[in-house]
Amino acid sequence: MNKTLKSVIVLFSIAGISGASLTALNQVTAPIIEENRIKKAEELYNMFDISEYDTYQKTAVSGYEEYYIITFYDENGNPTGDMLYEGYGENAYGDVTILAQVEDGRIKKFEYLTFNQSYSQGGPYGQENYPGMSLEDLEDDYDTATGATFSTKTINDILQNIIKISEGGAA
Amino acid sequence: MKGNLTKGIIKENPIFVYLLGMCPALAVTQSVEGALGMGLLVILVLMGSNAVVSLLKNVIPDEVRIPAYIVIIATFVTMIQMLTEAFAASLAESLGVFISLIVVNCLVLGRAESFASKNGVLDSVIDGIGMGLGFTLSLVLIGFTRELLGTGAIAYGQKLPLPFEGSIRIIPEDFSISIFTMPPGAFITIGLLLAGFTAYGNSKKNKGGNA
Repeated sequence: MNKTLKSVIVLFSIAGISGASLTALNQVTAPIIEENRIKKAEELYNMFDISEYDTYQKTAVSGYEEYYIITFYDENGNPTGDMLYEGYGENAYGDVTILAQVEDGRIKKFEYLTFNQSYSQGGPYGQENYPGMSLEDLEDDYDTATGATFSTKTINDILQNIIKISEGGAA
Repeated sequence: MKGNLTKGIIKENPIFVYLLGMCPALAVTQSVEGALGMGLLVILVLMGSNAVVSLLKNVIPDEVRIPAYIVIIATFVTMIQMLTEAFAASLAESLGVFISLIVVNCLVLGRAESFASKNGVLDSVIDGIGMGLGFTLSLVLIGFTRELLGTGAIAYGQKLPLPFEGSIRIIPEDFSISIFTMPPGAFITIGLLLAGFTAYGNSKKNKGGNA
């Protein structure tokens, strides 16, 4: 058999078997992964002791195509008393979703709902550093401290927009 | 056969002798658990890829062997990643992108090319286990040193799906050196351990030469 043809057939067969095996395994693992994701999201939401909300609204962040902030509204159409916001952003690494509670213009509580970003110092940066920060604090440059430049910028941008929205400003 | 299993632990240690797989050795060794988790995943990938490469060694044409090995390795890594995300979500989260990066771990491709493509299935699987064990023990040693010096305690059950969790404090918190949990700490730790390994190897060589 022609050498090139043999190489093509062998590579094609290996790739085909690989694809089929991965598809079969994905059928098994995908529902479990989705279940894990929902469970984790529920656990995180429970940590915030959220007020009942009636509606929510996504606000696109101007200047960033893939960013949005979710504000939760009560039955009277006012933002819920717990000042909880969900922020989402995407960069070259992937996405990040943040749940943040705001009090007096500062981040009160902060959790990652999803974190598909570069890691720094053994885990997602800021879990313990962001609470207490104000809009001005978030404008500081943390890039050199973490080494995770894109991730830090995305997280800072989301949190800045959450604080702006909580104070009645535009994202 | 026993030699294939034990050679990777000291004599042909992937990290401290061949300097292979240095990326995960630097990146995921902030803790013993992270290091152990990565080591176990690499053992599984090595076993699977070595077995399949060995099985197909007479079928894969020489000209396309490297792309074929890469596809086989990538398949096993993706499978391991799916299974980790499903059954050890906290480990998958803590290792992040470094699970996918096992595909480009020189150790895995190196063993496929230098051993599995020339030996039988059983020997190749045993070689994968042995090399993987050497890799895992090295990562755990680095992780233990970094976590101990960096935090003063060794945590368990936080990343691996164990039925219990907690931490054992060995050094008082005030005496921990936090730089060891950061990237520079990885370089310092690996440098010192590498120096120790090289000194040990040299002293053995000298003893052998004098005898």
